[in-house]
Amino acid sequence: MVNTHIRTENLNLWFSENHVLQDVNIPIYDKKITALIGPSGCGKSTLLRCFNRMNDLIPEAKIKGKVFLNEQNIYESRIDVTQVRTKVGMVFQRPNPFPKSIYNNIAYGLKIRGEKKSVINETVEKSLKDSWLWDEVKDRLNESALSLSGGQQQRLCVARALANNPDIILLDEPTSALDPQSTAKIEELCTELKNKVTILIVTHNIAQAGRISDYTAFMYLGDMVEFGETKKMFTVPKDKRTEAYLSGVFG
Amino acid sequence: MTKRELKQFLGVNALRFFIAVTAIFLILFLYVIISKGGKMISWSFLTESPKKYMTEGGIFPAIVGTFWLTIISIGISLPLGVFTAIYMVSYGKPAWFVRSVRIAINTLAGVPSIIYGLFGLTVFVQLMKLDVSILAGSLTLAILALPVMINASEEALRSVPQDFREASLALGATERQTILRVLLPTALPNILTGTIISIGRVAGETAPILFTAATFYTRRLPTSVMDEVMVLPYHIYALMTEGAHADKQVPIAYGTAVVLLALVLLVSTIAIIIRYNIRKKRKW
Repeated sequence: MVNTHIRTENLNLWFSENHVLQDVNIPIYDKKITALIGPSGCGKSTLLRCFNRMNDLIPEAKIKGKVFLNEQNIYESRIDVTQVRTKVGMVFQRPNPFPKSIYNNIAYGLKIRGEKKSVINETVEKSLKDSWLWDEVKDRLNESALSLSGGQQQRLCVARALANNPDIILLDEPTSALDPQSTAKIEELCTELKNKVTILIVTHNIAQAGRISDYTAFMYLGDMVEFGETKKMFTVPKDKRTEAYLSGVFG
Repeated sequence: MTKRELKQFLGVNALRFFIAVTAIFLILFLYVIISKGGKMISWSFLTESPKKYMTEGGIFPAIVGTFWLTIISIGISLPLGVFTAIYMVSYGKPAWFVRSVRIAINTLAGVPSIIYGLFGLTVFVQLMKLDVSILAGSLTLAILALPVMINASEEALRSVPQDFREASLALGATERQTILRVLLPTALPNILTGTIISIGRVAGETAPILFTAATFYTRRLPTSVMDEVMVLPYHIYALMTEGAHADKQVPIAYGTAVVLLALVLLVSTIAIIIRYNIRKKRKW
């Protein structure tokens, strides 16, 4: 039994005159990993950024359609964007820890909401444990986060998102800047985390989508071409374009 | 020697010549000032008041005056500059408004400093009735320092990677929280460097304080911001142009120049050290 956690309804997005997303309808299922794949420029990262309203930062972006988070349209005018972004965490392509200490990176989301010191201490430890970073950093929480390796920094970013206790985590090509070992660790971590949160991952790497995702969405030129269970799609793609992409004809 | 080698030889040596000329001017400059004023420097010169119509004694009141004018003017222009820069970087809309503000700032930066002096005289001394005082002089110097301060702060804020801003907003922070907790702390070292450069500029200015803060001669130290003060650059000017004992005044003027030079060099050195430390820590 799977529940829909987020779904879009005829979602359209323009950057100025450029129609980037065209009538996208996609369900994201609760406590599953959904992978968004497709060639560069197909709109997958843009779609991802619709789920926490990060496209609001781009002045020339225009959005039409609906995105339901727990059956609540997050593009309604009375919605508090900061609330949405607390519920929907995000990890970026390039590890982007703040130039602050490891501790303060994790504590950031809690501090801006004025949480108590005891709660923060507890959450920092828990988030670092959940992102498998605790043993590596527990003795140097006050050191700069920039002293960590790239893979560690990315797990720190996961921990920072987890500290907000989100329902959903969006990952925007989280391993494209990482070495194979760090990549494997992030992938394992995702599989572990799906017991607690819904995960939506944009990836350039078809094999990665095959390894970790339960559902896959294939996008091409702003269209949602195909969506379905990863196993099925990877063995018997319905659409010619999906088949071509998966077999490496273009990409 | 082939033609190419000859060209190379001539080119490199021409560059050597130009750098040597530049270096000679700098060395000559320091030599002239220090050889004429260096022997004046002593503990009593730094800590005593002028005596006998400035023909003897020290320059302590001028050091104190320069100190207060600099501190207060920076204290005024730093917050003004930083807040203006924050507005221009984060909220500045529409684009034509920000552009006009920037043109205004750059025009302000190009205004000769004596014009600032006249402006300060009209507005602060006469219109606001502050008289010739530390406050009037500091306000005038603050306006003079403002363009540098705004430009330095704006550049510092813009050099903060967009990644940090996105990370903060994606964690549910508001724009205000992002500015206060991420943008400003990250930009702060660079803002400080800009501030220190302004300090060097402000401490050495004569024209803006000529009519607004400086006095020719006083033995007593200022007790409030409404007092007029002696300042180092104006003291040099006064010693060289006023009074009847040139033989005794001129060495004191050069001694004052050495002190002023040392102060500005000290401030610049601090700026360089801070910048060096930032660059060492920067990894993004």
